[in-house]
Amino acid sequence: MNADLRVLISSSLLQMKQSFSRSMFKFCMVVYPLLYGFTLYMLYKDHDREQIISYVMLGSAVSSLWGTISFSSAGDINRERFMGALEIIFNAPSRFMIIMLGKVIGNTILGTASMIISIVFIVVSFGVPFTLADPFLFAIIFIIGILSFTAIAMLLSGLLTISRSTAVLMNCLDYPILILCGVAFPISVLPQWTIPFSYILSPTHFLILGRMCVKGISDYNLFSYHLLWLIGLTFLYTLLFLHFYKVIDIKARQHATLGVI
Amino acid sequence: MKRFFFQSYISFKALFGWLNLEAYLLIKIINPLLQILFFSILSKYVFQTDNIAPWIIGNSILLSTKNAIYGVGKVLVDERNMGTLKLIVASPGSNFLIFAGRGFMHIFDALITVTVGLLVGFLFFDFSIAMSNLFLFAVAILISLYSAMAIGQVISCLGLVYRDIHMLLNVSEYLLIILTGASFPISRLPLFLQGFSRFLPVTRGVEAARMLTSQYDLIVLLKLLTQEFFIGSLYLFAGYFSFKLLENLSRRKASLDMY
Repeated sequence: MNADLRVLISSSLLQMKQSFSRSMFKFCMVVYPLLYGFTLYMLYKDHDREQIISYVMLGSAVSSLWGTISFSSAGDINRERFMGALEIIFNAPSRFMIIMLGKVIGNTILGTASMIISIVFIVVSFGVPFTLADPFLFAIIFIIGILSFTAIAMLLSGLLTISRSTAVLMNCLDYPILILCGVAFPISVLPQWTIPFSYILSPTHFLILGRMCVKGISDYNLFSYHLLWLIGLTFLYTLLFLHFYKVIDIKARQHATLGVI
Repeated sequence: MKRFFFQSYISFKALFGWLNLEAYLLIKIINPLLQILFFSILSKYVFQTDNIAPWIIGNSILLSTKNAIYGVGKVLVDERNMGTLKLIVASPGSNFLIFAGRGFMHIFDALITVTVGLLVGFLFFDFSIAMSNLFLFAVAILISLYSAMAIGQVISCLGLVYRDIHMLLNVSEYLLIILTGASFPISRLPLFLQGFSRFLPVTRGVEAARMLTSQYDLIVLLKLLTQEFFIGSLYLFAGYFSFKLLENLSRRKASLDMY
């Protein structure tokens, strides 16, 4: 097996085990989807099934995945730093970025499980079937979306390595994403000036595309338009995180402050 | 009483001593601001109405639960972690005043957050309250904050016996969001949960504050506020007696500082 792949797998497995030992992660992964899904369902209770699937199920699924990523992937750097392991990981014979990517993949796998928990909870508790008009396209969107979330998580972890003040910002990332990406309501209800901000966030397009698949795609041009945005942004985030990890590599050697709290 | 105020102040200062101004502003001003924006937009969309005053009031008061849960709810665990819990227990001063004092300053700190929430409503969602009702509105908010801090005291005792403090705090926050009727009408909850809502603090305070945005019956309003105060006090005493119970247990088992 390729050495990088082996590192990737063992790093993800270790990350999943470590994450499960933290109560905050257990909350984000298991309890949060239930409570958030319940809250959204109570709000959307008298709306039609399509809206419940679009805003309650997809909304709570995406916010659960986001919670897992923002609180864990981004926080991992800080945890390693506090445990004094950041320099060790950085100086390991394997590439730092590959180890971090493994961690993010581990979190994304658990985050995907969290998405499934939130959907299953609504289906089982309230008897709302999860039906899709275009399941095949949804599966494709889902895979691209997961890749996009992985890229975001890598970007966040890179930012956190470079700037310590990002740690404080991380705690305030939840609501801007929930608002700007239209997790629980369509972005059309937001003021016009916020739309460009929504558009540069890939979860916005992931949700729009997901909702199109729930409803049935009537306008394929619009579908392609958002799909291109989703793919383009994922590509852009990937380029950015690759760049950040190069900057980290240089800065860590220049300033020797990687492990400084 | 002088000691009570001093203790409250010192305890509050110690809890937030690690925070700098930047972190305080982000956590206490920016995050609540975003939370209220999120729930206001959501309520406006879901209920398809321009009059979202009830939801702005409910969610603003609900912001105080951040103080109640993450501030007051963690206070005893923090004391234990810092090694000062045994000093509180052994203190010759009134244990009740020391216990109650741990939540006192949070009422005023939470008031800042609630005001931020209401200001967001005023600036972005045309929320207003008649000048003539302003005093009663402030009383309703203060009583709600008092009872919110009281449930924080109960949670802080639970934190001494339950190891998974983060889980406890986060679940408590969401349960208050769900069960107090601040974010959606209690009538939407399953029947068995509606019963729980009536025994929770904040529920009646939110209901009373909401009444002040339209025509209201003063007798009903005062009754709700009295009940809210009574429930808050009940939680405060329940917290105190739990604390004493744990103190007795720890004296017997010598496990006060163990976690």
